[in-house]
Amino acid sequence: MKRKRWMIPLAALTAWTVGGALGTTPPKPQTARADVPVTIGAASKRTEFFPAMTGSKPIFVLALGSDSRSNEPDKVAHGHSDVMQLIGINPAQHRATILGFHRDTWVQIPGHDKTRLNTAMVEGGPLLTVKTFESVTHIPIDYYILTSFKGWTDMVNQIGGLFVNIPYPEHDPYSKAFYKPGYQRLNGHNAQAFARDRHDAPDGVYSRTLNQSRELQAAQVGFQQQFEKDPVALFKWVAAGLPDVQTDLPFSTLMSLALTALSIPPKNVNRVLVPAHSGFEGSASVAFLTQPKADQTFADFRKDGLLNYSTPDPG
Amino acid sequence: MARATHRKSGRSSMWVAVVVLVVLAGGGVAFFLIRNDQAGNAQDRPGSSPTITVPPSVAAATINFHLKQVTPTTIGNPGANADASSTKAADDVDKALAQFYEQAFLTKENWDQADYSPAWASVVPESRAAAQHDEDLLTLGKDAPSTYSSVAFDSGDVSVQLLLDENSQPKSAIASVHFNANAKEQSGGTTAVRSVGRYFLRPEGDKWMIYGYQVRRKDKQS
Repeated sequence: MKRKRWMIPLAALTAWTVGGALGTTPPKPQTARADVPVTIGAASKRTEFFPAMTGSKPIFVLALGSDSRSNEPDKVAHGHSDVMQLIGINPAQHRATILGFHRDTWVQIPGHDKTRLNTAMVEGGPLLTVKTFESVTHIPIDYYILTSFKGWTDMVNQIGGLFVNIPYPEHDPYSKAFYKPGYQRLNGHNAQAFARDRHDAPDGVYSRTLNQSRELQAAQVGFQQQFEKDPVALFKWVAAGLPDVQTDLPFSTLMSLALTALSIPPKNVNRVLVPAHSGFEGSASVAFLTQPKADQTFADFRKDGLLNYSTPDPG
Repeated sequence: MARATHRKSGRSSMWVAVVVLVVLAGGGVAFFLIRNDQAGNAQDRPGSSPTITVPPSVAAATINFHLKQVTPTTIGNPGANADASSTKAADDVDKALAQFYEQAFLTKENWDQADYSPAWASVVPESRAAAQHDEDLLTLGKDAPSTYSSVAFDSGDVSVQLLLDENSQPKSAIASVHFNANAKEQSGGTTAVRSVGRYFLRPEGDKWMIYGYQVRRKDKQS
């Protein structure tokens, strides 16, 4: 698939991206009321339709977060991809799975040495990261979407924050994450802090990786709720990111994907961590894929974009 | 950024009726039997397009919606020509919806046969099957031939929300529509036809086409 890098603001639509030609059947009406004849004088009749994707072929989107503090696109694209969430979408089943990868996963980077997975982007930008993912997982990545610290903060602020279920107390001076457990609305700064905290998260980077996907999930819920109140939220979300996102998603596909997100109930989105365990490669603290479970996970995920379980929160 | 743009209100019902009669006398819409319009982006087009017949061209709409408001949302900072681009896009969306409603409710050649395929020409191919499924709510309906003797436009308005890219090019539109028409029934009564809805449109070539909708009918019989 030809990839081209161009920048459009995608805001909190990092939770779903990607389209491509999927199905062989025309889109079905979301709520079909037209089979009920219009009765003159009766209560008003209503119908709606949005062309969500309906194919059974899964869509895979790689959501990346750069550790670059710069606003320059090239520096963002060549920072460490400390956030790596592979989103599988199955339009036919109206389900999605977010598969999170530990940033220090020890892998072979195509054309380079074995090193941490987040280094692929330093070496070759998001395209090399995609290539590395495909090499490791054998999953064809349809699209990638990349943002930065500032990008994520700005996006979250412009969409009015994220309503996130904080799973455990956080008190981390490094990331500035200070939260009690429970549902809270996080502004951009707080959302970033929550997504960065690892020092007092129960399982360190593993917990943090799970929390990052939790924020993506919260973004989907927020989008659905805002769209329900006013469909013009679609435009607000698309425009919210300004020039802080890089992707190879065509605009029309982005819109299709956004509408597809409306057809996926939040309870049909699950979050999974790639099986991995901590260790050392020389003196470097890394994460090794736990085999054969990791390969089994990838094979399962590749089939339909879904995994039928969720990684529980630690503790 | 929001602007209110006002246009002259629509023609009187009698004038609309005259125009409709002239159109019908002139032959109205031309139909073709099998056609598969391939408009739309290839990457999000379904594998097989629905085989819904649409004519290659339809007569210009006679409805003149009152354009109430135009609200652009820009990706990035608005460009220098954002206003002009918004105005043109809103006008084009207005015309596209007028065309749709004309064919769906007012063109007798359509409703008298309960054949609304000219209306589906305003809908992107991948959404036509759904639109046809919702025919009774999006048009005068399948029972129109046995119910009505005439239909005339009364009034209507449109408010347009636009999404512009960083070059002020319109990428998408959401239009809120109120459409009112008066229908005479064969039984002697009258029906106030009321369609209220939101339409989601995108530019396809030089015209805007509907790809999604939320529509309610509030018809009242008197």
